Amino acid sequence: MAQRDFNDIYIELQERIYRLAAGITGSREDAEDVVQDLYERLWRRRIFITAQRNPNGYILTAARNLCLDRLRGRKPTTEVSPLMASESSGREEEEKDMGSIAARLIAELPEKQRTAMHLRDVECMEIEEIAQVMQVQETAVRMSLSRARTTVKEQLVKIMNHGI
Amino acid sequence: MEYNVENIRQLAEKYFRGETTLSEEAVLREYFNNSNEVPADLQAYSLLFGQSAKALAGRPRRELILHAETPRKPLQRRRLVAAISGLAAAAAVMTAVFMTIDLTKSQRSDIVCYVNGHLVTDPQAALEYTQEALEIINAKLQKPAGYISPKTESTATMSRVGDMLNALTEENAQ
Repeated sequence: MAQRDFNDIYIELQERIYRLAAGITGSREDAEDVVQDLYERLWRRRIFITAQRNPNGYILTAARNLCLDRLRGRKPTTEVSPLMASESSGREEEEKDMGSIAARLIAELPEKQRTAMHLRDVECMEIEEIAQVMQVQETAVRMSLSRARTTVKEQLVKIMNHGI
Repeated sequence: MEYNVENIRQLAEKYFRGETTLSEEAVLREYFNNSNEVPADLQAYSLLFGQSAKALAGRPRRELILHAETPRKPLQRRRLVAAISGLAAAAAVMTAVFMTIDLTKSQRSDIVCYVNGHLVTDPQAALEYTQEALEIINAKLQKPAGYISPKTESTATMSRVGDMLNALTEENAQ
């Protein structure tokens, strides 16, 4: 298979990187920074990356690691869902939107569960690919997925039955 | 499209256990995003699947600043350059080896000596020329008292020269 240029690969992946970064960092601005920072970091290694069997997996793994570095270096704040932050209609209205509540519940999950759920439910990646990106075993991915989905479901059911 | 709600319910349970395949999840997504009659016990799930579709729409607003790619040489050309470089390296090594061998050989075959104006490479001929030269010298010199016989001296010298030449010849043969 002919080797593709790094720029082509990255351009094709940038929206997925952005969504993953937004899911992990909980911030649209941070996610946009990650997209550019990661590009700069990987540019120096582009020959190695384009020679990879699975460059997409490599880049997404690097994206996750960069997001985790950012989270570690960040002062503790209340995380806000990127989707909530992206809405311009105001927080109060968003709170009324049950979809936004689901987004908030996902954003409050532990990072591993959040990332697993994002890669599976939003990016529709195979368990094997997710395991590669998260650098864990496939069973660990399934466990994270199960816990994440169950937690969000239980919270949603509780909210729907008893209100916010 | 009509859905079997019981089937959806079972798939949903499987989904929450993290055991569904991507195609099964696509069925669930389609059902919860398109069905108008979702049973009350499944309505919370609609929010979850609707959220996935919403998240997928997220894209960066800031434009990515790219570096210019340096155009790569075509693969065939790169292979040709690599092959030529390899051949050149191999030729250089071979030349160096042959030159070394030749130099060693020439150094050993050029073992020569001059005896009485004669260029000699054969040890036996060298011995004969030396003996002849020494006999001429002996004949021309007066014999002093107590002087060791020139014949004896010349024989010993010739013997030493012969030994040296033989040693060199053996070394050359190796």
